[in-house]
Amino acid sequence: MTRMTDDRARELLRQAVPIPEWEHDRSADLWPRVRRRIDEGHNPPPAVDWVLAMALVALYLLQPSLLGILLLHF
Amino acid sequence: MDLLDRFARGDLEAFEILFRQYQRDVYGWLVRLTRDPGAAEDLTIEVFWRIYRAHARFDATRSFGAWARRIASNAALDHLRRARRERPAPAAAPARAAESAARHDVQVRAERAFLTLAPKLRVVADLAFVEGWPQEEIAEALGISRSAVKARAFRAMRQLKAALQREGFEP
Repeated sequence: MTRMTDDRARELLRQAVPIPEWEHDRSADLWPRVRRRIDEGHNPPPAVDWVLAMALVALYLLQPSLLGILLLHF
Repeated sequence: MDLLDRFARGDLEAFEILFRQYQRDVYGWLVRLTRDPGAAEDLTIEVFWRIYRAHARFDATRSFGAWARRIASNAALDHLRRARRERPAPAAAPARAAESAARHDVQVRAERAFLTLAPKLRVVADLAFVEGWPQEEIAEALGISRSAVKARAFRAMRQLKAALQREGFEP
């Protein structure tokens, strides 16, 4: 069986996947979106995390031995 | 203190200056790798967020541009892997005028063969075979060794030829 040559594969690839032409819109200022993303990363933990933490404290106060079992999983 | 040192210490104003200097380069690089200007814009945000998050690991004696490009390459590969799982392969050519339909059919089948490559091979194939980049530049841009580029290009070509033949292309 004849094998395909590298040149033939390259030629087909160039037809299928042309070099992308792009023009970045200079007016598009992406900085506000980056800034928002950074600020979101600095947010305090969501309320559910606080509830979970309080539940663990309550568990420790009521049943310290259960907390020990839980910690074994970490 | 210079700009890169200020950035490495987490100075947001310094980061904004660097963002404005490198945004276009990073975006252009992401368009090259993903071939999707819309996705590249979202990824540009993601990349600069990753860059800011990693500011403490940045060595201010090195090139910010090369570092940003490596982070962008990783983000683009993540995107391509996700897209590969989610996006179906291009469909067969719809009916068109004979010559145009035949050309379109060749493109669709060749693209389908290209998309069978793993993203990390696809990126190397794109830069090496379509754009004709030298291996040293690909290695620098992707943050891998030249021998890794060579190995990936070899595997990409071998798999591409097999996929093209499965799509019915004559050698």
